[in-house]
Amino acid sequence: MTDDQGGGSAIRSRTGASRRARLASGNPAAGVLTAMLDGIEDAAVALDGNGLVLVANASAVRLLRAKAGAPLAVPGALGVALAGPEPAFELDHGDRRLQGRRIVADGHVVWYVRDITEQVVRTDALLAERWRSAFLAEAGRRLGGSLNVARTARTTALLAVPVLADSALVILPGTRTHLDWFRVDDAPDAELGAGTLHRGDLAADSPIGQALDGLTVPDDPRLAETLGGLLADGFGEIGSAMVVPLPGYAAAAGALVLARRAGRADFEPAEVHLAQQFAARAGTALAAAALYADQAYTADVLQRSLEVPELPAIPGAVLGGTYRPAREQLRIGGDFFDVFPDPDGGWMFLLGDVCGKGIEAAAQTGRTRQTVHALRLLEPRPLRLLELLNAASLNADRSDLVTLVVGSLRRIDGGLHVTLATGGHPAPLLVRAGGGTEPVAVRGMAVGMVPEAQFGETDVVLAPGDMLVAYTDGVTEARGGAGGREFFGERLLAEVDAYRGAPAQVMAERIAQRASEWARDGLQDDVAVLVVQAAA
Amino acid sequence: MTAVTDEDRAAYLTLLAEADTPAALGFAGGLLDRGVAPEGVLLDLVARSQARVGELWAANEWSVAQEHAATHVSEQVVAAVGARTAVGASRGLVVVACVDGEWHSMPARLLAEVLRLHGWNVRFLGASVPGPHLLSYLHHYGPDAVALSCSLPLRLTTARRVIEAAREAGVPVIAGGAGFGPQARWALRLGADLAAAGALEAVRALDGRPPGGRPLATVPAAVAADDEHVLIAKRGRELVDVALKKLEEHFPVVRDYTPAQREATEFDLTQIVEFLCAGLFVDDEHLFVSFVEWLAVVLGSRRVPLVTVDMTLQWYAGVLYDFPRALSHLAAGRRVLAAG
Repeated sequence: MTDDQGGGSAIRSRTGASRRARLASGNPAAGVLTAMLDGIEDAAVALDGNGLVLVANASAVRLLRAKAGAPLAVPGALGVALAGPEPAFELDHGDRRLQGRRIVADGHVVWYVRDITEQVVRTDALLAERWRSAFLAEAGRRLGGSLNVARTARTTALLAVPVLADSALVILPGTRTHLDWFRVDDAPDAELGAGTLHRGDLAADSPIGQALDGLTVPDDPRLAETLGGLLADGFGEIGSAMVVPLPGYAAAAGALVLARRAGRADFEPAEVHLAQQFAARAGTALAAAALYADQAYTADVLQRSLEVPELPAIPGAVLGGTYRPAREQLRIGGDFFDVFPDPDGGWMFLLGDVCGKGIEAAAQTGRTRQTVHALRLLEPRPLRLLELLNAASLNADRSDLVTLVVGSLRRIDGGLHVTLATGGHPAPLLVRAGGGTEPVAVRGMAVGMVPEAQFGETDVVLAPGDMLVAYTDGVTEARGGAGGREFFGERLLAEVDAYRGAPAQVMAERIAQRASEWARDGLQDDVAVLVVQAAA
Repeated sequence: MTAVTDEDRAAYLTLLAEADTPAALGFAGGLLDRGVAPEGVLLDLVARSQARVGELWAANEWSVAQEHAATHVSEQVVAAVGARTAVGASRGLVVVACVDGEWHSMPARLLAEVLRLHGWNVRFLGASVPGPHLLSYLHHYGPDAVALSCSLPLRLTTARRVIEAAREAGVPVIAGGAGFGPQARWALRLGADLAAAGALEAVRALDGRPPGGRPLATVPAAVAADDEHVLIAKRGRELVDVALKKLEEHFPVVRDYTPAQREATEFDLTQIVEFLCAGLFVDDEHLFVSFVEWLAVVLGSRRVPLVTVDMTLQWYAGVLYDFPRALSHLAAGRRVLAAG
C-alpha cells in the first residue's frame, strides 16, 4: 500500500528545509525518522494549533492529500471526522473502510488513519461462508427428513425463501403431459401454492425445460417474461430470476425457479453457486423420495419385465413374447400375456391391457389374470371365456376395464388352427410366410364396460411359418419421430414385413425395440407383444 | 485345452446364416465335447462370429432381419452353454445390464455367462434397461457391483447418469463395451469405478475387488468443459431440417422420396448430430471420426454417395459456427472422408 517509489513524506518534498534543519539540530537521525514515518502503512499526520499540516507521511499524502503548511482538505465524512471532536472513527471513504484515532501531544494533533478494507472483506467473506455452510447443513437436515415427494418439494421452496429469493417454485416432472409445481412467497399472508402446468404450454426453449434438461439458466431479463405467469398474483415486478436444475438419480428430479422483486440486488456469483449447491441437495432428496414411493410397488413389476418370461414349448408352434414397461415407474400399466394348456388338451394364449396406470392398474392386472386362470379350467372357447370374464368383472365391487385377445390353438395337418376372440383390443396381425400381412378381421367391446357386451370371434389357419402377432396399443401409440409426437402406428406393418420369416421371438423383440426406439423420450405406455407361429 | 479354429467359426457362421438353431446348439455342444473350454465357445466362437455378423450387415451382405435372426440363434447357444456348464455361485452378486436405449444385448449376455463361469452370482437384466428401473433394482437387491454394457457411444450421456446414480446408491460400477471407446477408455471419465474392454478384463477387474465394496473413485468433474453437446443436441431438429432442405436443393431426387426413404434419411442425419454430441460429451474426436468411418462403410455399401455425408458435415459446421469444439470434430470427420 505504501508507495516507496513515487512519493515521499511531506517533510521531504515540501517543507524539507525547515523540518530537516529542526530535526537535524536536535537529532542527527532525521533521515531515518523520515523513512520510519514513510514505512508505516497507516496514514500519520500531525497538525499544528492552526490546523495546518506539520508533518505527514507518504500514506497521509496519498490517502488524506496532506500538504505541509496547508490545512487538510478531505471531502465527505472523512473530512468531517478529522475536523470533529471525536477521538476515533470508523467510516467508509469511497470504496475503502477507514479507521482513525487521534492523540494530542504538545499542543499538536496527530491522526493515525488505517485502511482496514481488506480485513473487513476477509471477515465478511468468512462470515458469509460460515453462514452458507450453516444454511446448506440445515437444508440437508430438513430435506432428509421426508420421503414424500410433495412435502420435500414444499420444503425446498420454503428453504429458498427469503434466503435465495422472494418467490421460489419447485417444478417436478409429474407426468408426460403435465408438470407439477409448488410455490412459496415471502409475503406475510401468502399461502403455499401448488398446481400443474401443461408441458405443451412451455416454449421449445423454455428455461424450465432447459433446467429439466440439466442446464442452469442464469439471470436474464427475458426470464422475467417467461416466469411472470407462474408467480403469485401481486408479486410485483421481477427484478432478477434464475432457474437451476434439481439433479436426481439418472434423470432430473425437477427444477428450482428463484425470483427476486425489482429493488433487491441481483444474484451474485456466490449466490448462484449457493443456489446450485442447495439444488443438488434438494434434487437428491426429491429423487430419494420418488424412489421410495415407487420401490415397493415396482419390485414385482420389474421382476416381470426384466426377467424374461418363460413361454411353454408347444408341439407344432413356436412362441415369442416381450414385455417392456413404460419409462416412468408410476406409469407402469397393466399389459400382460399368458400361455397355458386348456382342459381339452389344446393350448390357450391371451394378451391384455388393463386400462389405467400405476398401482391400481397393476393390482387390476393381477385380478384379471387370476380370474382368467380360474375360468379357463371351465371354458376353452375364447368367445365364451370373454363373456364369462365380462360378467365376473361387472360383478366385482370395482369395475375392471380391460382389453383382451384370447386364442385357442389346435395342431392340425399342415399347421395350426387358431380360434381368436377379442374384446376392445387391436386385432392381431396375420403374417403369411409367403407374403401378405393384414389384421385379423375380428373386433369386440372392452371387457368390464357393459353387461351385454359384444365380442367377436373368428378362426384362422396358420400354415408353417405363418404367424399371428398380437400386441398392445403401447406399440402403435408409442410417440416419437422427428417432432416427438408422431405415433408409431403404420410403421408396425413395415417392421413386420421386414422380419417376415424370422423366428417368433426375434419378431416380438424387434417390434418392442422399434417402438421403444421410436419413442425417443421413453415409452409412455407398456408394450407387450406375443407372437404365435406355426412350426415349419 | 482345445482351441476354436477358423474352420469352426466358418462352419458356425453358415449355421447362423441359415438361422438353424438346433444345428448351432449341436455344433456348440460338439465343441464342448471336443474339450473346448466353455469360455472359449462363448468368446472365441460366439462373440467373434457375432462381430463378423455385424460386419456383414455393415457391408450390406446381410439384412438386418438376418442379423437379428443370427443373434437370436447365438443367444440360445449362449444360454445352452451356460446351462450345460453350471457352476455353483461362490461369490457375490453382480447385476449385468445394458444402458437405456442400448439394444445390443449380446456382449452383456456373454459377460453374464463368463462371470457365472467364474463363480459370480449374476442377474442379467437384458437390453435397454431404463435408468430409473435399474436404480430401483439396485436399491432393492444391493448387488456387489453393477456391470453396465454400452455398444454405441450414443448412450454415453445416459450411461453417465446411470453410473452416477448407481454410485449414489453405493453400488460400484464396472463399465464396458465398444460404446465406451477403445479399451473402454471413456468409462472411467464417466465416473465408473472399473473399466473393462471385454469380458475377461471384467472378470480380472472384479477379481481385484472385495465383495460388498463401496465405490472407490471420486466422481470426476464434468466430462466436457462446456455445454456444447447439450446445446447442440437441443438444436438437433434444426440441423436436420437445414440438411434436408439443402439435400433437396442439391439432389432433386430427394424431393420425390417416399415417406419411408425420407424417414431413413432423417434418421441418418439425426444420427450424425447424435454422434457429434457424443464425441463432444467425451471430448474425444476419435469418437466422431470412427463413426464417420463406419458410416462411410455402411452407406458406401448401400451405394449412397459419400459426398452427401461430407456436405452434411459442412452444412452442420455452417450452422454451428460458434461452437469451436464441434467445428474441430466436424473438420476431423471431413478429413477422414477426404482421405477415403
